[in-house]
Amino acid sequence: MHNKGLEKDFMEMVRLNERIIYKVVSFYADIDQSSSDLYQEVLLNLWKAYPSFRGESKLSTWIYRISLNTCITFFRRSKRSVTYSALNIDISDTPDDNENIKELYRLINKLDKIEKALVLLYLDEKPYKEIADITGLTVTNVATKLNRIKDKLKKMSNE
Amino acid sequence: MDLDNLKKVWNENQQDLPSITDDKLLSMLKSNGRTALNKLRLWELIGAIVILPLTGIPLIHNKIFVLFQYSAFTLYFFIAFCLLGFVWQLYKIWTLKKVDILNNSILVCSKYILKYKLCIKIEVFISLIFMIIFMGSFFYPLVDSLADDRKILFYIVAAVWTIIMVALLWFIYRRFYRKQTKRIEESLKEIEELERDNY
Repeated sequence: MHNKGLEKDFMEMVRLNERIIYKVVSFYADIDQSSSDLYQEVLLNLWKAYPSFRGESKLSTWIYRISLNTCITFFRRSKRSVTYSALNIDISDTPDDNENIKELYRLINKLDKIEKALVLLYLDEKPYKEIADITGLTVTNVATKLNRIKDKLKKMSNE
Repeated sequence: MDLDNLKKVWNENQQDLPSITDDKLLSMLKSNGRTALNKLRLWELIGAIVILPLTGIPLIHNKIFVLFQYSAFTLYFFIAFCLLGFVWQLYKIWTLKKVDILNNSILVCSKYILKYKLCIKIEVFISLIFMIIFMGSFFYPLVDSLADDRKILFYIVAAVWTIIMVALLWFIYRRFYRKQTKRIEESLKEIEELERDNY
């Protein structure tokens, strides 16, 4: 099933699209789930899905959908940590120190999981059609929801 | 700083992202571990398999412990709870099956994982009620075996215990259960609105 050739292709695919996984994971990681846990969950799900990916959608769309789905649905009944192989990278550091940006990130963290997904895809300059494909919303719904999120963030920052 | 301004700096800040080594990547793939979702499904399946045989416990107990028998109420209450518990397990398994990360949209997956989380909250609370009723109904008939002077003490202890349990239950309901389930229900409502707007 998962032969060496497929493994090699998959690793190459991950290498080329690592940024997508990192962006999604860092958006959803918090004190309850570490970046390492989420990263490995996303990787496992991509690995399981890879053999059946037939190119019906763009690769980046497919990766975004599975990564977002994994992070949004990640849930463990017990709080004890799972023994995943530890990542030797610190992916919690952000390179910028701008206070306004930090404040906006703090507010974005207060949004619900679907709103966060929309914000992430918007920041990544995805066209509305692609955001709709990834999230399962219509294009109109994406536009409406993004406007509501912008208003919500403005309101939260004024409080 | 708003979202549109953040967009401008967002991609600039993504330039120097850390990278994972090939060895680390390979070890993650080779570990072939279960995902968190698969572990949840397995946990619920085990729960469903284990709960049905539990209906036999009161009958076995009554055969072994002649002096400390389950009363008729406790026996039927326990068995009914186990049977309902089995149906509940099947519902949770069905809900988790709908969380198809690989094929469903994030809207659908989000909805069903929230429903599952709601199930867990309800389950914890109902289990607490079950424990209180079960323990009360199991120990209360034992009062007949006590001497008359001890019976009054028993009634006092039972009354105090009941008041404390009810107060604790009320506290847990208001502080934790209601607050957490309300949040989940609000999120579910938002998703349902999004789904309605989709059509």
